[in-house]
Amino acid sequence: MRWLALIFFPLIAWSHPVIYKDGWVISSMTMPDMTDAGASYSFSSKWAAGVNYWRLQDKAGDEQEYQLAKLNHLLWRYNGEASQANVYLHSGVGRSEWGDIKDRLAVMGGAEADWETRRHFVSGKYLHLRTSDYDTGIWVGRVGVSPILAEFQDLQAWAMVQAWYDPITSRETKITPLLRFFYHNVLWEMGSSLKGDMMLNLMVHL
Amino acid sequence: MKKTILLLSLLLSFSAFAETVSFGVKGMVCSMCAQGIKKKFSALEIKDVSVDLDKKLVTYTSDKVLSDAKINELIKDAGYVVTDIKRK
Repeated sequence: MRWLALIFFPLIAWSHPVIYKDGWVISSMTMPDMTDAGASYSFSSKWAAGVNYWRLQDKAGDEQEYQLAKLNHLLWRYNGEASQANVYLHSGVGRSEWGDIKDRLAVMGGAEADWETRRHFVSGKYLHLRTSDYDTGIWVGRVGVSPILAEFQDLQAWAMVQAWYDPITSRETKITPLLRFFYHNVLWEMGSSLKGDMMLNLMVHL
Repeated sequence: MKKTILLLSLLLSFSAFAETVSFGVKGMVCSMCAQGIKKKFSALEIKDVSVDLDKKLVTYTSDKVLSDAKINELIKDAGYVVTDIKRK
């Protein structure tokens, strides 16, 4: 059931799930046994809709595919003098395909909160997935620090640690130190879990 | 010579109409997220937009005049809150 954790990863790897009005987000993620491609459109500063496609390999070596349509909502935002905090709601519906069953209905829901300054970042997320085979949830948390405060148009670097608790797949908390970089409208992340699973994420705002 | 004077006069008259506007933006802590602010103003042909994350300040110079309400709307669409609009 490792795939179950993996399909959540694209939903937890990124920063804000809703961006500025009329903004597009194009994202991809690469791990040893999974690739992800996604796109979303923020039709207001509070709502975004999108799609994701995942292809992954499970522990048995079988290939699985997922297509999910998502709707994200910015429920609450605090814009402070030197910080910002957000609460988001996630929802989605789609299909999955592996083994003998070609069309499984998949429904997803969850909530996410974050707080950040120019120097510090903290976030937490809970996502719940229900399919014909599974009814489960995942907790994810991140903390980060930016060692150098870069100017608006300069390269911005963050050091982060991600904790991911998945009670279905392993009942272990997976710790992944990673580096995050911004440059203009492009974000990329590189990391490796303590068990050696490499991670490379890319996101572009358009 | 007359052409040069005419050209200079035109340039001076354009610059005379240009306005420098600066305003505070609460919550502007993420440089990538704040790219949306530049995008909103660029869509109105206002290209000369500078963002100071330390001071949480946005400044632009343009001969296009935007009302305070329009600036508030643009920044709200970008996900932020405007404070203290100043014009020169």
